[in-house]
Amino acid sequence: MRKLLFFIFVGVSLGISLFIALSLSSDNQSMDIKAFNTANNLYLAGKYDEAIQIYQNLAAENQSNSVLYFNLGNAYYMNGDKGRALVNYKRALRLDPRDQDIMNNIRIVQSANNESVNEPRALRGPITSLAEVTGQILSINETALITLGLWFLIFTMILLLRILRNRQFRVGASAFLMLFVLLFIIAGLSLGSRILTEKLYPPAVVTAVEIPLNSQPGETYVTENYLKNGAEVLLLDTQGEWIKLSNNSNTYQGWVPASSVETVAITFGYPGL
Amino acid sequence: MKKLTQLLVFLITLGFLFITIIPASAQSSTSKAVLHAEVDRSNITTDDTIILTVTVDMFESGLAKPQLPALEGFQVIGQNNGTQISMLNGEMTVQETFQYYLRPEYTGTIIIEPITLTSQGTVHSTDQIVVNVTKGTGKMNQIPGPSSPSFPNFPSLKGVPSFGIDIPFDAEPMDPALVPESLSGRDYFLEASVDKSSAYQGEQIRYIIRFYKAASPIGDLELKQPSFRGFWHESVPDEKHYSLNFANKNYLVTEVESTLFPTVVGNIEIEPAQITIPGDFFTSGGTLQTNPVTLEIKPLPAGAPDSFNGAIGKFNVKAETDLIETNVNEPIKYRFIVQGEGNVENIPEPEWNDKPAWRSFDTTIETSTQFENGTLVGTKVFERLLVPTQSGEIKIPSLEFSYFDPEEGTYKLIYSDQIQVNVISDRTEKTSASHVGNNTIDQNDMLGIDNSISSIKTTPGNTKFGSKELISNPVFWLLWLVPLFMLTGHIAWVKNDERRQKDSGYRRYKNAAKKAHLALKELKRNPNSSSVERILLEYLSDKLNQPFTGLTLEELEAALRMIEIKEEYLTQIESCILLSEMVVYSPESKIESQIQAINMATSLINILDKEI
Repeated sequence: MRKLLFFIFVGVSLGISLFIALSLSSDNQSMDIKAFNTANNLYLAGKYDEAIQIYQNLAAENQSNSVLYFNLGNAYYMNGDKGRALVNYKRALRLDPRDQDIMNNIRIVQSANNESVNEPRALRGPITSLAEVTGQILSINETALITLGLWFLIFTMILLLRILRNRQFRVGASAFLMLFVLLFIIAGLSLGSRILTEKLYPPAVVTAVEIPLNSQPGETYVTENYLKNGAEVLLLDTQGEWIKLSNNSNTYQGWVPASSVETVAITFGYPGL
Repeated sequence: MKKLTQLLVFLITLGFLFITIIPASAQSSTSKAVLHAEVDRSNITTDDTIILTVTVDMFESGLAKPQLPALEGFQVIGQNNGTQISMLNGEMTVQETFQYYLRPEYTGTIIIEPITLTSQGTVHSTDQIVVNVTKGTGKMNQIPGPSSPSFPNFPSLKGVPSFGIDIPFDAEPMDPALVPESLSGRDYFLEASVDKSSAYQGEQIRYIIRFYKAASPIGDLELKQPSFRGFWHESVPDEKHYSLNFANKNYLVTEVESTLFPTVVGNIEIEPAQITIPGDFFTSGGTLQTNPVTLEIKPLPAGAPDSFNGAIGKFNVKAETDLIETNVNEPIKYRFIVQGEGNVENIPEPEWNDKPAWRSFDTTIETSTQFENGTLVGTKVFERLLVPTQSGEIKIPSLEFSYFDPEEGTYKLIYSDQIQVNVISDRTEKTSASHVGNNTIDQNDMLGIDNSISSIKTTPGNTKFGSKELISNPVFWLLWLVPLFMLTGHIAWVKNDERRQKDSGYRRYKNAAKKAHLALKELKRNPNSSSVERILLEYLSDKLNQPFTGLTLEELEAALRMIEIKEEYLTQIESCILLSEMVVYSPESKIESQIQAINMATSLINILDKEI
C-alpha cells in the first residue's frame, strides 16, 4: 500500500514538473487575432511598413511564434530588407525547424544574396556538428523537454529498482534504465552543444545596407572588407558599441557597429544588441 | 418575515437590472466605432473647400473599404488616404483614413448622406453630415491644412478649374539669381533654358521650362512642349514648385524639366514652348511662348576604341554569377551590370565570346533609370545563361566596355572582373540533357527553381507550446532537481522505516503522540476506556523511553526534573493529572471535567511533542 502511494506521489510530482516545464515554454496570452489578421491584410494590400509595425508590436508583447516571425520575415522581404527578412526566417526556423515554407524562403533569400546555402562552417567541431544536425530536426524547446523527460525517466527507473523485488521486473527496469541513460546522453549532448554554440558564437545577420568591416573597434581603423545586407555572420566578441564577427567559413573577421547586425536567438541577445 | 421577503425580492430585481444594464451600457460606451466620418467645417462659403475625413478601424473592417454616397452638391477635387497605427495604454489600434476634398456647387444646406461599410456581413454606417453654404466673394480660398493635396495647374487637369494662387505647402523659395528681369510688372511669364549650349552627340542636356504666375485665371492652362526634333528625350516625372516675391508681386513658379540626348550633329534649334492663358470677365487671355533655344551639337572625337558602341556619360561595370559551383550541364546565370549617368537606355550589349567550356543562351536585358538632381542615372543588366559542358575550374573572362566621357572629352575603357566557377563532373540528370543545344527554352523551366517566396501564413499558429525559450527560464533548470529530491527523499524514508523496525524504542518514540491522540479520541467516545492520566503517562513513557506509569505525582515530578523538562510543562502535566484524578474521584462534575481534561491533555501532548 505504501509503495503504491509512493508511486502515485512520484508519478504526480513528475507529471506536475513536466506540466510546469510545458507551461514555461508557452505564453499565457493567446495572440491578438485581430491584430494578426489586420497585419496580414495590410501585407496583402502591399502596405508592408504598416504590416511590419503590427507584427513587431505583437512580437514585443511576447505574442511571437514561428508563424509571426515567418510573416514578419515575408513583410521585410517584400519591403526590400533582405537582412531583417533572413533573421526573422531564422528565428521562425529555430522554433519550427521542420517547416518547409520557412526553409524555402531562407533558401531564396540566401540565393538572392549570393550566399552559398550550404556554406561550410569553419568554427566547428563535433559539438557544433551535433548542434546543427539536431537543430534541423528539433526546436531547442523540444530538445530541452526531451532531455528533461529522459532525466525524469532515469530517476523513475532508479526508484523502481529500489522498490521492486520481483526479479523479472528488476531486469526490465535495468534494461530501460540503460536505454534511457544512453538516450539522455545523446539528448544532453545535443542540448548542451546547441546552448554552447549559441552562447560562444551566436549566429546573426547583417541588417544594415552595407557596413565596413574594420580591423579594430572604431571608425578610424582600416576597413578590410564590406558586408552587405543579409550576410550571415557569427559574433565573436564585443567591445562597447562594436562587435567582432566572422563569416560562417571564417575566411574573414572584423569589427562592425553593434547596431548593424541582429542576432537570431533573441534570448542570447549579444550585449549591446 | 413578509418584509424580509419583500426586501429580498427588491434586492434580486435590483441585482438583475445591475447585471444587464451596466454591461450593456459599458459595451456601448467602450465598443469601438468601426466607421466614422466628419468634416473639418460645417459652415462654409462657396469659396471654401472642406475636407471629409472617413476613418475605418482595420481590426474590425478587415479589407473592406467605405462606400461613398453620391455627394450631391459637392465636387470632389482631391483625395488622400493613409494608415495610422497607434498604441494607447498598451492597446494597439490601426486605422485607415480616407480624405476627400469637396467644393460646394451652390448655396444652402447640403447634406452628405451616410457613408457605409460592409464587413463580415454587417453593414456599418455613419450619420449624415449637414453643411451650410453661404455665398462667397468669388475668389477661391486656399485649401486648408498640411493635408491639402498638391496638384499642379499645368499640364492642365481637364475639367478642374484653377482656384487661385495656391502655393503648395512644400514650395521652396526660388533662388533670386534665377529670376529674369523681364518678369517685372507681369502677371504671367514663360521661359525656357538649357544647362549647356554646346554638347557632344548623345550627351545629356537638361531643358527646363519655368512658368511664373501671379494671377488666377478661371479656366484651364495648357502647356505645349516643343517637339524636340533631333533629340531622344525623357521627361522628369515630378514638377517642381517655388514661391517668389518679386517687384511686390507673389508668384507661383512651376518648373517642368526634360532630359535631351541629341541624335544628330550640328546647330539644332528647339522650337518655343507655349502656354495658353484663358480669358475671363476682365481680361481677354492670350498665349505666351519662350524664345527658341539653339544648341551646338559636336560630333564625337576620333579614336574611339573598337568596343565603343555609343555609351556616353560616366559608367562603371561589374560582373557576377548566381553560383560559383555547379555541375556539368547545369546552368548558371551570368550578369553584366552597367551603372552610371548618361544614355543608359541606349547602351547596347557588350560583345560576348563563346568558349568550348560552355554554351550560352540569349541575353535578357533589364534597365532601370531615375532622375537624380535632374540627371538621368540608371542601371542596365545583361543576363545570360551559361551551361558548362565540361568539369573543372572554368574562367568566365572579363568583358570590355568603353564609353565617351563628355566632361573630360575622352574615351574610357573599363573591364569587368573575371569570374571563376568550379564545375563538378556530370551527374547525368535527365532534365539537363534536353537543354543542351536548345537556345529557346524558357529559362525558369531550365533552372527548375521557383524563386517566389512562400506566402504568409494566415493561421496564427500556437503561441502555447514552444514560443518562449525554456533554457532561458531558471525554473526550468530548477525542475532538474525534482528527481534528485525524490530519490533523496526515498532513501531517507527507507532508512527511517528500517530504523523503526529495528529499534522498538525509536518506534514507540515516533508513534507516541499518534497513539495518545487516538486514545484520547477513544476516551471521548467511551469514558470508561481509560483515563487522561494514564494516557498522558503512557505518552511520556513512550516519548522518553522510561516507565512513568504507576508513579506518584512526586516521583513523576522528580523523574521529569531529572531529564530537565521545563517547569511550565511540569506544572501543566501536574494540572492535567490532578484534573484527571478529579474526574475519576468526583462523579458530580465528571463529564465537564473529563472534556476539560481531554482538551488539556491534547494541547499539552502537541506542545510536548514539539519540545521533546
